[in-house]
Amino acid sequence: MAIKWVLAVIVIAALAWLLWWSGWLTNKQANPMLGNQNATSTQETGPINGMSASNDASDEAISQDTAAIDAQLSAYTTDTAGVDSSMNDKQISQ
Amino acid sequence: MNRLPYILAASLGLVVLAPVVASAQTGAANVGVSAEVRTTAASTSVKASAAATAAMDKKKDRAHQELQRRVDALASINARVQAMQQVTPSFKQSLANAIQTQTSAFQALDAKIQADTDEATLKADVQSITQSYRVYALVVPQIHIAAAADRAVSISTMMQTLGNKLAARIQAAADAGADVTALQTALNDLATKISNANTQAQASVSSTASLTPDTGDSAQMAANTAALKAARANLKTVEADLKAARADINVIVKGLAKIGPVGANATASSTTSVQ
Repeated sequence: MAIKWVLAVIVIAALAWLLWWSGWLTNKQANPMLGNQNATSTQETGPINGMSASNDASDEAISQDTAAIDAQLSAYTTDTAGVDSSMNDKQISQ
Repeated sequence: MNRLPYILAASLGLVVLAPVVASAQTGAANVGVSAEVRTTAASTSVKASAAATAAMDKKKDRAHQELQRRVDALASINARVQAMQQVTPSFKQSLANAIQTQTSAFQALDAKIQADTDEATLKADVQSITQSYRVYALVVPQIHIAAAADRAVSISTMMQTLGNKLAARIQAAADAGADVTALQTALNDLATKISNANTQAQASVSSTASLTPDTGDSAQMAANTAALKAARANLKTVEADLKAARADINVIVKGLAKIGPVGANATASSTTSVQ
């Protein structure tokens, strides 16, 4: 029965991984500051993670954006700590 | 009256009866000995049974700890998966389903182990925990790496959006005659750091996506460990790049503040892109 779980997890994880990977490749963002993108006010997209409106470059908006980025940077540290703990995981001896 | 016969009879009686009495005493002693032996044997048997039960209980408790630990870790990682932003909802659901399947399997195994009544069955069930651990030990770090890379891409996107705004503000300041050389340098570096972060985040995922559980193969285990460590190093580089990019943003924001508002107000359209 254990082998069935092993096979099931392998198949599901591999399939999910391939789906995620292919989707991620097609969703890669071009760097607008390299001249590949013109962000116009008519194409405003919804702000994410507490960012201000994409066409608002006021001091207040920039301040809001930097705070939102700082929050995500802090969360990233938590994410990498999760990587560390999972890699250092030790099975309880049976 | 001649009492000798009575005395002899009594004596004979005593002689005849003595063995009986002795036998009775021995018998009683034998009964006592047998009872004591039986009691000792029973006591030993009880003690051995209690020891075996205690040993089984200890194994069951360890198994429960290990399985519960995995269930908790899967719940934690599922929450993190649901918070990912760069993947589709259907993909998140497929991962959630896979995680739930594993969680249910662990819980079912735990219940079975707690109900095991013989050593052989318990041993087999406990061994299945060890066998399944090799999958768990790979898949969980893989998902954590993917989640970290996902957030890195989100941060890059946010920085790109802010970079566009800063580029517009720098342009406006330049048009107003301000010296924006240092600001432009920081903006260029910001673009480079964001690009590097994206590249490293991608590398962290690509190096671990094709890994397979080692199922006890030491060479495969070593290869998986090396790949996971390399991905972890990629994520560290991402962190350094994003922090450097954040420092560039600081330089630009402070520089613009020093220049002061230009034009009618400090608001500028983000239609201008920097080449």
